[in-house]
Amino acid sequence: MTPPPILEARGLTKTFSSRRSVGDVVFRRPSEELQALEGVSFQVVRGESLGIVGESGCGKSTLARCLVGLYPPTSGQTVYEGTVFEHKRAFSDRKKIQIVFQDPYSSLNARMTIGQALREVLAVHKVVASDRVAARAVELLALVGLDSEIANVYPRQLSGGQRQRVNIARALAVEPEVLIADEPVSALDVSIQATVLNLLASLRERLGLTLILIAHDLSVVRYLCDRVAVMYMGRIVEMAPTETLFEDPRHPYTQALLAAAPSLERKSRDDARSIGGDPPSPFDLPEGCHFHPRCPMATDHCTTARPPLQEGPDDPGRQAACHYAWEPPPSHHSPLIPREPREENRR
Amino acid sequence: MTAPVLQVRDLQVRLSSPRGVVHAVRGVSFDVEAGHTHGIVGESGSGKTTLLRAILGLLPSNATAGGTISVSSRQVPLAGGRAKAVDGVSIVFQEPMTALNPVVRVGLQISEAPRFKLGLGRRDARNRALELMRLVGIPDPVRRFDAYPHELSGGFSQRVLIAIALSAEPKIILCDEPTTALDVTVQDQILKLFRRISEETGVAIVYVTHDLAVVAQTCRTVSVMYAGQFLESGTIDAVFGRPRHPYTLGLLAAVPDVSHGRTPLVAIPGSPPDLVSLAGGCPFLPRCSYGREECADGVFSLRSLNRHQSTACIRSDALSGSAPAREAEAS
Repeated sequence: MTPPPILEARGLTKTFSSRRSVGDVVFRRPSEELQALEGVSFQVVRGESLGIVGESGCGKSTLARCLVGLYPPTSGQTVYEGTVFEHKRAFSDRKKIQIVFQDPYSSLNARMTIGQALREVLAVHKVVASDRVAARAVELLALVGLDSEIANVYPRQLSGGQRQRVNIARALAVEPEVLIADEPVSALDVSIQATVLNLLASLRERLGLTLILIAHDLSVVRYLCDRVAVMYMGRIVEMAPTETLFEDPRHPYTQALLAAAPSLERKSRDDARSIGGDPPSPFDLPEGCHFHPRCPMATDHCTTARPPLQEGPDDPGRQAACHYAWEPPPSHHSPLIPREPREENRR
Repeated sequence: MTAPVLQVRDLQVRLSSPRGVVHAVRGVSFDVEAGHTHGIVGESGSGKTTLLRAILGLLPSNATAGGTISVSSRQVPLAGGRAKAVDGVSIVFQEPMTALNPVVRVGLQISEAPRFKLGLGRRDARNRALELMRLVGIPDPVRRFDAYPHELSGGFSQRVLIAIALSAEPKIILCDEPTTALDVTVQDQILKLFRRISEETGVAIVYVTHDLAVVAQTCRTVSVMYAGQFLESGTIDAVFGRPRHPYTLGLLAAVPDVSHGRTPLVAIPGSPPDLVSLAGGCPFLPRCSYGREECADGVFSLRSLNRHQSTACIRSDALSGSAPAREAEAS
């Protein structure tokens, strides 16, 4: 029996409306709707690390912001240890889930020293007694591997890697249970990325943190996460334990992502699985399965019926949202693209 | 063996700034032959972009440069300021969305060079642009000719930029992180396009990026740049398979790879040096675990180890036994 989840997303849906001009209002033109998230559901157990990967515009960051409570979801709920978090969260509830943003250059106040920024969080949330605040700030810096002298400098005096450590320290100041990291290393230099990734891994172990890592880089997710959810156009299309997902991807989009990811070792490219085309406009999503216009396995069935995220027949740990994830298309569904060369590639 | 289309010899670029003189490029030499793709990997601030601007003949006005660059055996003027871009060299920038003129139809942007540089007539230039759009894989070019940049996705904008880069019939295309702003699946398409273009047109490509895996997939040879100089050069197999410089070795161990699970990452300690206050000796010494006293003095330039590889490390013998940990594990 699996332990009860610490965090659960239940059918999170988020729709943004495009800005309307005066002319649109006068002529009663309806505003265009962008569906950033469409019924996203998953559970995370305590101490687990879940990776969320997808290309830009797939809704990863919107999901992070809904979970932290920065965006009110259009529908659906964030459930923390069995209780539903309203959008307007109680002060104490806000501490439970914290976030580290992508850009370490813009997410720190340029006019506050690092010490001030950390002490502010500690004082506002009354994490420690007021005479312990300064000492705790230094402890937090030590936790992320920074010297106590850093407390007296301004963000501009720090490198990107150091700033990202400060951001992590600030998120940890309120002693959260769940840490969401939204592309924590994509703005950093290659030689620095490893230090931040290793820090996240060791913090998770030392503090028993639950980590939700959002990234476009598959290699980062493979390095840090126990389980991976792949998103495409606002939906989770596949979710599985990390090694299973990388070794035996079931959704054609996951297969394409893996085939497209550059690797130092894979010299011969798996061209059969790579895909053409661009992601569709989020204002004008295709009918049926969102992926069907780019999908090498799509049939006429995919153009009308949207596949739900379903567990595999003999593998309850993995889910995929594809009609043909577990069995090849039946012959009465005619393929959109001739499918012969793909047959050998499918296991 | 054909004569290289691009020859760079002991290139030095210094930029004056309020903080002092920035030694952006310090003695870089390399050749690229027609039809070849040479990769340059380096972190931000390693001088990659300044090197490209020097080759393009577009150094900023605060730059002073030494050494020589020749394109098809013709010397490139190295004066900073409002120089004229060099014939036969074109560039593809990182941000496809901002590199295009937003108020000019993309077809006209592609046909500009054929019309005004190659002297084609309006109709011929249009046909040339359509041909280029087909070459870079833009479907339905006749319709897309009249599109504005905002109507195109990132991948298509990058294809348009590549078409523009090809439009003046260059000998060399410089690529400055051309796929960093793109999604993985689109990046894959663009990388394939570069490979096809160099095969079909015989153009030489200099591909600058921070992503080792992208270089491994696109280029035949690679140079590793750090603090304005090349620390290691050679074929992809040699440099990434048997690195002979501690920095290359460190980079390979610090980058996660999709083909690997949890091989522990080993970070390179410290951060890149400030190019204003560089002391003598090996620039990587403060972060190097192989460093010795003799590394603190002298000039460290590339020396050839064999036909496929050269390194700037004087202690490269100490590294020869230690292939990167994950390579050893994989075999």
